[in-house]
Amino acid sequence: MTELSPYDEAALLAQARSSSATEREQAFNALFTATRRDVYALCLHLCGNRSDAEDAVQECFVGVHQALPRFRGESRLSTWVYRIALRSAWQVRARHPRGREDLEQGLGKPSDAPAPDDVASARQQTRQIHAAMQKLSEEHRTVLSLFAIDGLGHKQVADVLGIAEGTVWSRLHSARKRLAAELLQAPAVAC
Amino acid sequence: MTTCEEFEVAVEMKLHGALEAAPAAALEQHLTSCASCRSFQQLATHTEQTMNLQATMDSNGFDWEAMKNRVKSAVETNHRRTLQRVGVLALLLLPLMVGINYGAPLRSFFSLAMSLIFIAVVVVASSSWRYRLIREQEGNRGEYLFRYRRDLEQRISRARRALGVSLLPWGLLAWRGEGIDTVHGLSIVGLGVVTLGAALYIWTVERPRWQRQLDTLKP
Repeated sequence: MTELSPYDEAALLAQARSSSATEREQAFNALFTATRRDVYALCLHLCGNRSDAEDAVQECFVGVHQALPRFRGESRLSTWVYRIALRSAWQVRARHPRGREDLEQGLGKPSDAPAPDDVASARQQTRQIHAAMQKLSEEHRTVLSLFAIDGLGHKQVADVLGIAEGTVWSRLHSARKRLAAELLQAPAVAC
Repeated sequence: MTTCEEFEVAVEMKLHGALEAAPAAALEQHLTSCASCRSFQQLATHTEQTMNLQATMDSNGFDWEAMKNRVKSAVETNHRRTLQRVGVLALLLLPLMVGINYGAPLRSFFSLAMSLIFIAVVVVASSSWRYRLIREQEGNRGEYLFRYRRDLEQRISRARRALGVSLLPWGLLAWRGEGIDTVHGLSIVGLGVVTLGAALYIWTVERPRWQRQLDTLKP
């Protein structure tokens, strides 16, 4: 992950507010490169399949591109991007409530060569976790997806969700319990 | 910390590097004797690692350049559409203002009012037609709900603007410097009362209803 320090974010923001179109474009490109993997991971976990996740990523960055020059800097730039990503993923999910493709096709796409047993087993577990995730409420799925982003601390998660830091832990705990219950109902998953 | 549930929360905090040394030691001690909390710790670690690994694997093979091009193309399409809408509005407004009033000055209140009413009718009719088309598409309930939600959000935002717009006739009256002793002045006052009344009605009755609908439709 390419992390943006607060210093980088301030520089990016100044560039995004510049009157030069080239500079604004450069700022967007830098922000895109820095946040694209996390945005994709977030959308993938929330949407549950690759096609919807791609659409959500596209909508998110279209929104970012349009609103970046007007961003007032009331939160961290990355926090703002994650909020837009959440909204985009929810909207895409609302359009395709059951997903457009099977998890088999969308996640852990098997290659043509025969996979070794451990890789196949890992794929099976991934599919089970994603299937269980899709049965959770929006609130639970969101908090689990945000915490699964590498390097995103609880303070920033609280900021993205607009809730108190203490509430983040209790919400994460109840989401994890719910996920465990869903996984128990699914056929044979090894933890 | 006494209950297993509190230790489970501590497990989450430890997993994300937010647990201080003293509670971490207490948690370690508890984990040696509690199979249920150990199992929770394994599950939390496993699910998080799997989700993280999967997203990393998936994004490694992702064509980011193609995605960037998709974003830029969508942005350009949006810009083009905005320009088209402004152009269409200008094309509608100008001939209507000149035509309806048979060449009277453009600032004529009646031609402006008639043009705005005409455009409002066109906008409402085209939006109803679009929803009808969406509704007719089989199995596309998700798309319909999404559009309906967006429409409700837009209506709520327009209700705010309507309050401001309702003050325009009064501004027009002041600008023309007319009193209610002239036909024009009287009709502007009439329009001002009607638009203000309509805006207040939308704000106090319709807007809360749309907000309630939106709350129930949110994903």
